[in-house]
This record gives sequence, C-alpha cells and structure tokens, in this order.
Amino acid sequence: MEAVVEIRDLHKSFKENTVLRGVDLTIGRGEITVIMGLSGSGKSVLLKHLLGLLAPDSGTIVFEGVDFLRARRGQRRELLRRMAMCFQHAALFDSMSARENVAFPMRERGGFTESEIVARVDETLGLVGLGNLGDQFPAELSGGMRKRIGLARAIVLDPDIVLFDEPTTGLDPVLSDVIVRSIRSTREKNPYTCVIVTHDLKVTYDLADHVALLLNGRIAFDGTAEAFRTSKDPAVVQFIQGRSTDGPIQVK
Amino acid sequence: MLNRFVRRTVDTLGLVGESITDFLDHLGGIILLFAQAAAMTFRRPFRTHLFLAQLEFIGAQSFFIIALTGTFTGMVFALQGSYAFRLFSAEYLIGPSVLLSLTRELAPVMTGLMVTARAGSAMATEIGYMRENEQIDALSTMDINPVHYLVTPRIVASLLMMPLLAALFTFCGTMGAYFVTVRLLGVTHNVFVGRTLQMVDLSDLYSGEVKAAVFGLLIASICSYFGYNSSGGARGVGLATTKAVVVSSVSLLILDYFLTALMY
Repeated sequence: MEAVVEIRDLHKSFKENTVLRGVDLTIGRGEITVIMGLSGSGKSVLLKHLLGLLAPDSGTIVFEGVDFLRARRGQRRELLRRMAMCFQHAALFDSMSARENVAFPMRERGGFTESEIVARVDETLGLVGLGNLGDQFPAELSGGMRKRIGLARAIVLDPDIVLFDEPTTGLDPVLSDVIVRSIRSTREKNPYTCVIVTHDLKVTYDLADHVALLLNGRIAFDGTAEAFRTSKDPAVVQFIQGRSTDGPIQVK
Repeated sequence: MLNRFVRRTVDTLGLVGESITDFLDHLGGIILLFAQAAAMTFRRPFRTHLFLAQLEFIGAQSFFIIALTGTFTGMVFALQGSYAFRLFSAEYLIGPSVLLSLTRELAPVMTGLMVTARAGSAMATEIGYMRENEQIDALSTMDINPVHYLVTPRIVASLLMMPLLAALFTFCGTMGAYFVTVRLLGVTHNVFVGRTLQMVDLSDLYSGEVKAAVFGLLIASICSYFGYNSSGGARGVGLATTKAVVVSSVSLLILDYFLTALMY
C-alpha cells in the first residue's frame, strides 16, 4: 500500500484540554480509512489538522513526501487544492441554491465555461442521486439531501482525497445507506482516497478498507476492517459492543 | 484582616488586568482583520457581485431610514434652536447653527449609528452564523481566503456608502430645518439661505464626509471582527452581535472626539 498521508506524533491542546496525545496514522492511496472514536475524542480535530484549519502543538503531517506543516505557501496550497471536505452539517452556503453550491468551487477555481459548469453539476448531482433537483435553497432541503449536496460540492473538482466528518450522524438507517451508496457511486469514476470520521459501525463495515480507533488522544487500534471486526482487544470489543462499563474505555 | 485586604486587592487587580488584556486582544484582532482585508482589496479575483450586493445592502437599503432620521433630526434641531435664539431675537442663526451641527457632527455620527444598527448588526450575525455553521471553514477548504471573500467587500462598500449616506442625511436634515424655520416659524427664505451660505462653507461639509468615511471603515471592521470570531452556538452569535453593535457605537463616538480635535 502506498501512503498518501503520514501523521506522526501529533499533539494538540486547547488551553488545559489535551485532545491529541501523539497520534500516528498512515492513510493509503485509494483506500477508505475510517477513524472511529467516542464523541468528543478528537476525531474532527484530527481531520481539521489534515486540512490545515488547525495547527498542531507538535508532530508532523507528511503529504506525499512533503512536510505539510512546514511546506512553502504555494506548495501547501497545491496540496490543499487536491483535497475536499464534507462537513458534518454539510456547511452549504445558505444564500445560494443547491445547484449554485455545487457549482461554487468550479466558479471560484475558474477556467470553466458556463456550459461545462452546468454539465458537470448535472453529472455530479446525478451521482449522488439528486439529478432532478431544482433550484431549492439549503433551508428547503432535508438533512440527508443537504449532506448529499455537500458530497457533490466536495467531489465536483475531482479531488484526490475527500475527508468526511460524521457523514451519517443524525440520519436514519435508510438515509445512512443512501449516503454510503452515494460515496460508493462517486468513487466509481474517480476512486479518490477517503478519510471518514464516524462512530457509525454500519458505515465502517460497509465501506472501510482500513480502521483506526482514536481513544484518549491516541490511536488504540489500527488495522483492516476485518481485523477490527474480529479483534479481541478489550477496548475495540467494548467500543463495538457499546458498553459504558466493564472495559478499558472510561467515560467522563 | 490584612490578609483579606491583600487578597481582595490582588483579585481586583487581576480583574482589571484581565479586562485590559481582553481589550488589547480585541483591538489587535480588529486592526489585524482590517489590515488583512484592506491588503486584499486589489487582489484577484474581484468578486463584483459580492461587492455590489454589499453596496446595495449597506447603502441603497439604508436610504429610506437615513432620509427619515435626517429629516426629523433637522426639524427638531430647528425647533429647539428657535426656542433659544428667540430669546435674543436671533432667529436668523437657526439655519447656520443647524447646518453646522449637521455637516460637522450629526450627519456622520447619526448615520454611523444607524448603519451600525441596521447593517453592522447584520454583518456580525451573518458572518457569525457562517462561522458556527462551518461555512467559513468550507471556504478555506476550497482554497478561498474567507477574509477576502467576506470582509473585504463589506469594508470597501461601507467606506464608499457612508459618505454618501451622510450627505443624504445632511440634505434631508437641511430640508427639514428649512421647512420648520421658514414655513412654521416664519423666518424668510432669503434670511435662512443667505445667512447659512455666509456662515457654513464647503470645508464643514468635507470634514463631515471624511468622518463618515472613517466611521465606515470602523463599523465594517468591528462588526466583521466580532462575527468572524464568534463561538458558542446561537448564544455566541447573539453575543457577537451585541458586542459588535455596542463596541462599534461607543468607539465611533470616542473616535469622533479625536477626529474633531484633529480637524478644527
């Protein structure tokens, strides 16, 4: 497996609250890596480090051999341009229609004609199963639709890596499956590397090639999805069984 | 006893110190945000549609309220002035005194306060909501500088529209004062216009316009800053809006004193 991102000994604190205490993780090219953990365990914080939205207190993030945190500005921008993010609550722009939201990254990047933009937006909306979507605004859409529009917006420029922050949180099991299928269908043409932060076991079993379990600011388990499912590690077993007692995971 | 006194003194000094650090923290943040936004004014891409939308929101949509408050401010000043000047049979001074107050102080300050209440609060709320909703993070992940996208158009639009709105305030205030003085109080048209032209000159108008432009920068920078740095959900956005309006209005009045001292 070729590594696309290598995270080494990442530490991050917010005032007295230490969130990451030396995270080590390798993300393989073209793989779907699922980062699991308790709510508030720092999964989203880790994701924001990958996007450069947060700077760590110490540690390194190496992106295809380039030290992301110490890279020159231009180099860092180039790396960021190849990534996209699906936010937990979609983070769509309320002042724009759903179609305009999807078209937004293309318009901002520039170099596309209007007909190219329309064709690409139609194609991308088709991939997430919203091809017939009119000009509704985000406030008029359901939570699941908003998440799919967010996915369409993220992949419209064919990124190499897409990061997902809790893609199915707040959705019923059927809608969660729609999101899982949308992720699959959008990877058919462009098999982008996926990093998914979630605590949804079904998403993990359906999609993951590689699973990491983040506990107490460190990676407590790192292996294949099959190894995760059959692991005898007490922390993994406790997490999968969803027990708040009788195990090494302490809930504050 | 002495221990308690020492502890209380230390606590009080601690609180004062905290307030001073807080103040300097915000002041530094506002200046930094303004500098960042200003430095990117001429950087591509020029998002004309965002700039025009702000011109419309800050300027065009404020026309009615500025005209209304301007007219009534002029009318009430003329009326109040008449009570005082009548004592000395000096009604001919109503026009010049109202015009001087309007051009030098009332137009820029009142316009600034109205724009803060109408547009500044909306700036803080909208940007704050975008921060809470991760829309600002979304911009960053798309390689779009959020300050360039959100703050620069607001600051430039505010800088351009404030002098225009202040001029409108002065014009409507003058009309209001003319109506009260000439139509209701019986001062003749020639006295009102003649004396006003004699005592008010263009430099008074210019100084008010310069003040309005400076206030425009101040309002947009402060209100954007509090929105941009809001945190803590709906309560955080509400708090950011309150702080934006209060800090913007108070600093506007304080800055007005220093600008006046510098200009006259």
